[in-house]
Amino acid sequence: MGSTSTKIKLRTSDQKVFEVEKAVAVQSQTIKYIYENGCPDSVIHVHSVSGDILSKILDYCKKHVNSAAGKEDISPEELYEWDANFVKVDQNTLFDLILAANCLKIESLLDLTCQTVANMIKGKRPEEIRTTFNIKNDYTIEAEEAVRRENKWAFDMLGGVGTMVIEELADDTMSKCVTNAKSRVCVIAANQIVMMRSISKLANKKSIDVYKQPQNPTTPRIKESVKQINVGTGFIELFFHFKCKM
Amino acid sequence: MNQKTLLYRSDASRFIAFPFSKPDGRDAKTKSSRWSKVSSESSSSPTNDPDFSALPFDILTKIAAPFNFPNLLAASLVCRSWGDALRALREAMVLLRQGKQFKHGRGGVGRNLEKALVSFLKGAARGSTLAMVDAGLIYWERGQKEEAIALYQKAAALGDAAGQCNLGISYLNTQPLNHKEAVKWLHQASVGGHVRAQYQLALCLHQGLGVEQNLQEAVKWYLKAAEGGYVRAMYNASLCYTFGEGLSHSRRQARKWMKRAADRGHGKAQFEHGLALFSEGELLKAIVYLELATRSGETAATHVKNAILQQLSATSRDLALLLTDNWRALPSSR
Repeated sequence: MGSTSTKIKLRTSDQKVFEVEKAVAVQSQTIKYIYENGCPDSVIHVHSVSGDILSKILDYCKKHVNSAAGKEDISPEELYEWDANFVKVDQNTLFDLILAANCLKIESLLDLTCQTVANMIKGKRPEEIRTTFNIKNDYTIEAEEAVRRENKWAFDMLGGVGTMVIEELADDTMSKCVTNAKSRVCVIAANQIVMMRSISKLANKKSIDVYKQPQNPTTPRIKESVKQINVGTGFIELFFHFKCKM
Repeated sequence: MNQKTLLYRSDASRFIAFPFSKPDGRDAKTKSSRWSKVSSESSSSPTNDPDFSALPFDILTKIAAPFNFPNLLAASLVCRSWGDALRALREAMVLLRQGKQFKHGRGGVGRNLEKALVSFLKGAARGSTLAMVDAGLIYWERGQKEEAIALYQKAAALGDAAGQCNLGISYLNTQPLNHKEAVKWLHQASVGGHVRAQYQLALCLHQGLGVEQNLQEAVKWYLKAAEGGYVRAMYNASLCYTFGEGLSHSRRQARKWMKRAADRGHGKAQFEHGLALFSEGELLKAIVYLELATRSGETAATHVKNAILQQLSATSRDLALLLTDNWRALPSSR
């Protein structure tokens, strides 16, 4: 008998037994390892996977093995379509598929399911993601702030300038910020010229980037005037937010 | 503390991240979600609900690998376990930014590709595909194609469209040529919306590289890329309409796409468009485009242009020159 007709038996967590071709089963690196290092005739237990999920997974493996071996006449685009339909399942199933693919080490299936979840997350705000996945928010306000603050320096819509947003009007506080700021900060001022003058005055002939606050907070800032502060430790651009409605 | 007061009162040490949420809204939502947490403790939640908050860390890292910072931050703020899982990726973002600064010499640092590469590689080690792609680009520019391809492969496997596109292109350009793999990755990137990948995929389909020649599909992808702003795709789409390749003849569509390509600086398109305008009798406009084509290096345009110039008065010629000098290409996604 050729090796292609070797069958492997798999028993799931709910005691269902599946008999599959070796070529299909060894798509799972875990099963492959167990098969090659254990007794080839015995049944392999896949404790963490239920019968329904394993059945779906085996469908996936079979499809991919057949298409790679040329047994099925299916173009890469068609396979891609098939995969896309494969993951159109309810969330329970998707979740179980991810965990199972991870546990059974089926790389292509894990990639596919992860990308599906990624697409469900992209472009959404945290609240929306929570709704999609039915996740409870267990952040306290402080913990959430800590996460936001942690990487405030790292990025910015202004193109890589670290920012510290200071909601402040008082002059003395502003000067304190200028001198105390150890790293970059950016200024957004409202459109009042008065504000800009007072900022410049404060900055003591060192200049600052002043950006106009746009109506829609998601549009990129518009540079009003470009001058830069050099306070010995590199550039500092002060970021101010004056009573802006968001 | 009431969030609202912070908007109007001063407290120098308070830093608020404003881009992401309204203080009122967030406050309200946090309050209500805390409420629901309390109330749900008494009632039992259905046991067969998948608990996405309990996804293992490495899976979450894999999922979020191709995210840009806004998406990463949003995912980090979903719940504590996600926030913890994604910390390494957030660090990768810092390194990515550092790398970009070194690469372009921004933000007070001089241009230094070595340091840029180091930063990108650190970011890549933490799992960010954006860093992987940027590191790959630097390797490629230096000629270290194998290292570049290895990084692109990692990024592509994690679903990064730019990584997939670059991987596809590198398979088309390095020995041993592997057209089938190239097409596979270009297809994935194209479906993901990557404009350059769409153009390259269209080229492969057009020439039958790595895949059966399919003119209809090729045109479909040319048009997608053209609508995404890719200039060469616009030119090719126009040609397809002119010769009826893969779709029916349409002089109108051909003219439309040729004009768009010409307006964005495509030399050959400017030549063709200039010719078309001449045949319609729009001498002044024709001259402008033909002059632009000449300046882009289309020598054939020169002859036609000179022939037409004879027919214009001196003032028209000057006007044409003025218009050409003031012409600016429209933005495109290259």
